[in-house]
Amino acid sequence: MAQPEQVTSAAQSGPYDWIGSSVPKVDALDKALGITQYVGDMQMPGMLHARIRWSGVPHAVIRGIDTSDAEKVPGVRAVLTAGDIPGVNRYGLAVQDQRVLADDKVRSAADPVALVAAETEQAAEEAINKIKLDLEPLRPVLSIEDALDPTAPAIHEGGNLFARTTVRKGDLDQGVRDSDVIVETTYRTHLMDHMAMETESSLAYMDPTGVLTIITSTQYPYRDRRQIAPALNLSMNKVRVVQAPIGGGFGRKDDITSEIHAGLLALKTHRPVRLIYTRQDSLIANTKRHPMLMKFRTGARSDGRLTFVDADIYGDTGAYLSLGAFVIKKAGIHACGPYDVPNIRVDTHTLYTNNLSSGAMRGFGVLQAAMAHESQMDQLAHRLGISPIDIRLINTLKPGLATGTGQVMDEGCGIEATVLRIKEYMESHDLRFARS
Amino acid sequence: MEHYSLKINGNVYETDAEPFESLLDVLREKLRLTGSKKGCDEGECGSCTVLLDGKPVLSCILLVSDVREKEVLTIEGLPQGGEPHPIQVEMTERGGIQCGYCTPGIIMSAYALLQENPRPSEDEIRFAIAGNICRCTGYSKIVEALQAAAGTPIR
Amino acid sequence: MTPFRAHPILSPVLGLEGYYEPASIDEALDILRRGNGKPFAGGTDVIINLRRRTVTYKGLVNIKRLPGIADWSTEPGEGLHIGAATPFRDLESSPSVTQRYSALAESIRVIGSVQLRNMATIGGNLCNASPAADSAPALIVSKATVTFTGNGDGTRSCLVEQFFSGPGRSILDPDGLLLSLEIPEPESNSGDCFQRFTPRGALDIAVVSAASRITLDRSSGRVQEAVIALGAVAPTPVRAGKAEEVLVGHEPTPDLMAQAAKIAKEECNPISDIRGSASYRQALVEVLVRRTLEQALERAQR
Repeated sequence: MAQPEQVTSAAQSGPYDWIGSSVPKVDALDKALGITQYVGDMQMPGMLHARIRWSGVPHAVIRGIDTSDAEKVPGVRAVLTAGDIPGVNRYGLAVQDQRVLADDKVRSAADPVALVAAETEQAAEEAINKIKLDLEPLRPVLSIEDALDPTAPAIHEGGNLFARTTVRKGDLDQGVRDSDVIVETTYRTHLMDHMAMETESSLAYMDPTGVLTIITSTQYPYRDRRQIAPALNLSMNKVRVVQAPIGGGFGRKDDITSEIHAGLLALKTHRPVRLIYTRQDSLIANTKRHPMLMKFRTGARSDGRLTFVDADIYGDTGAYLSLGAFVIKKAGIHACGPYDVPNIRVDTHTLYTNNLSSGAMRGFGVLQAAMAHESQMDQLAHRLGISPIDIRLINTLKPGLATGTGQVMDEGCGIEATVLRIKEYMESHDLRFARS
Repeated sequence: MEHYSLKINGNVYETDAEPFESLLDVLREKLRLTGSKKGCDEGECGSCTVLLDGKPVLSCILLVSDVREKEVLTIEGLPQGGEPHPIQVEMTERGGIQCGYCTPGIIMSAYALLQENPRPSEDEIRFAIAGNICRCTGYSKIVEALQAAAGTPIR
Repeated sequence: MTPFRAHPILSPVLGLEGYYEPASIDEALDILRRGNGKPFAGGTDVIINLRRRTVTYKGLVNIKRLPGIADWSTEPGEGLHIGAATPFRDLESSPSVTQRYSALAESIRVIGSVQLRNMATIGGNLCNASPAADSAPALIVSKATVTFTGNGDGTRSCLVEQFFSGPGRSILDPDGLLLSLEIPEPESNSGDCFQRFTPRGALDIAVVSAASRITLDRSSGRVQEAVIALGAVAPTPVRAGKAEEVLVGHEPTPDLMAQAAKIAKEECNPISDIRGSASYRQALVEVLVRRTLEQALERAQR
């Protein structure tokens, strides 16, 4: 009978003793007891409940928003649209391309158009459904191919190509000449939701000293404050962002979610306001993993040694950038994977579309690239008659070798040891590749 | 509004509610028993799991009128004599908890399992908590914690 | 405690004007006849659809406390009687059900989750009339009948396979009430099996599901009767009649079952949607029919 693994006590002392040991998290028992207070668990006297009306269409000019029926719903205390924003109706983590509430046009089906605060969640829900939107549809840009089409409408003033990055190393033509085999494939990855178990949520109130306080499920309270204060026309010292226990983030709570909306409603109603995204709100309105289109050409010599990588990576960041340019750039930086490649040409293209926005998510662009470069390695192995393990061992980065962007590996480079462990495991368990 | 006397964790709670309100909303917003979580509000994620007459159910789609004359057990009712239940202890000490949002639901599903099957196999544990979605842990540490709580061998 | 019977809602919430908890079938039918609402028991479809606002109902009629509606019983040799509001988990937890009704038990174990099955009822699964309803193919091969009330007086019965009329639609009138199911005792020379394909093991909706039942001729060992039912390949759960035909009267060899599976694939006409393309669904039909036939045969020969 296997013994339960040792649970380490806090009695250890040496500086490295913690490494490799299992340490109970300081806040875990409260979570097990159900006494941890997430934002949704909090209430305040006089608190109002908020809901957001989303645009529902990907691309349109706003001709009018009729809130009169919504205002008549019993219990409704505020119905706000873009004109009610006291400060700058712009925010964004990297560039300020997002509107707190849509003004001139709608750029995605998840654009917030109006806010409601009411005495009950049901009243707020009734009210958002009674807001009438008069939208004039525009041609939507719904794919990477659409975004690259020169006749496509520009979603933002600067056009649909937000950024291009390049990685260059060696001489691509020489790499092609040195190759005994070249594989060329186009890969696609899809949009994906983080699906944190707790949806986005904020509780905003004016504290007795006149500081707007927003308790929120966020990954970065200070970055939030930097975006909240200008939108609400408050000086930075009049906004306090409190990071509540967070029920999962995985990157999606990097961006502003419910914070400005809850703060704005609290400012306008002079009441505490709690805004909790429904699961549907969360699914449509928050950032996702970037869908990518990746065109890869990879060469190798007959002995398995890589000769070049030639790739174009197109990332669909949706209607707003969030951290898109950095995620997609990172896919380019990692396009050669953990392998030593002498000749490299990699371009990345960050594209706006009218799709849901993508941003940070676990792996930050590296996963999409891995899908492509590892599939290329498998294809090369197959074409050359080398085992998928061996072709990786031939090419892994080792201490002293550099990545395509010039980062020289040191002793922390563990890819060769990792692949060797896989090889050992497969041999000791008599595992074989189906195709090699 | 109707008046309800609800038997929860051995206590009687008096509250007014519409009969079609969910038990979860009544627990969380009216009775301030916020340990049961709202993850999806449509019976898919298991974060709101409570026991109704000893059986695990989804309190987000259970109407409060269906709780009349029945016993509800929530995460708040699990500790005995001020001491956490062994499932709560093992989940804490064996890395079964990260963000913690799915945790109360997992613990309630596991508690229901151990009530009817005190020494479940790993497969039986996984079957019993299949209705509880966790996005952080990958489940392995949760399963190990539940095996430890049941005193069964860990892989 | 006296259960209240009718509950007028002064300020409509979710469009509801009333909430009813009838204490007798007659009272329930009276409420329904006056067009006052949607009957529900577990609520695992009705309440969710209402909240999503994909439907509107004037009122909700909670039938769970109707006398006998959640009772079920079985005796060896007598078949299985199931009240419409019986939660799946009650059936799943009973060896007297799982040991004799293999396909039904297999279909129940994959519905939603343990928590959901403590709420969701077998009658609700049928009334919801999803083409992918997990219990439907197994009930069809089990030759289950449903008993329900109609427009007129009295009750009617039909086979489960005749109950569905389209996606989300059944022959049950809007003011009708599904009361119970009867499943005949399986013959000792028969065996059945249910399988489905889903990306996840739990909390998922079938891409394709299949149930098969084989009854063997006692003296010759040949197939006396074959019933194959498919889910999620048509507007309603359907039978694969041509596949059944090739089996009858023959020795159930692996080749013949593979041939029947191929015919089932050809005779179904699924759509493409988010869960799978038509051609993928057809490929799944072939695999699932072959596997369920093989398993059903093994059980019939036991």
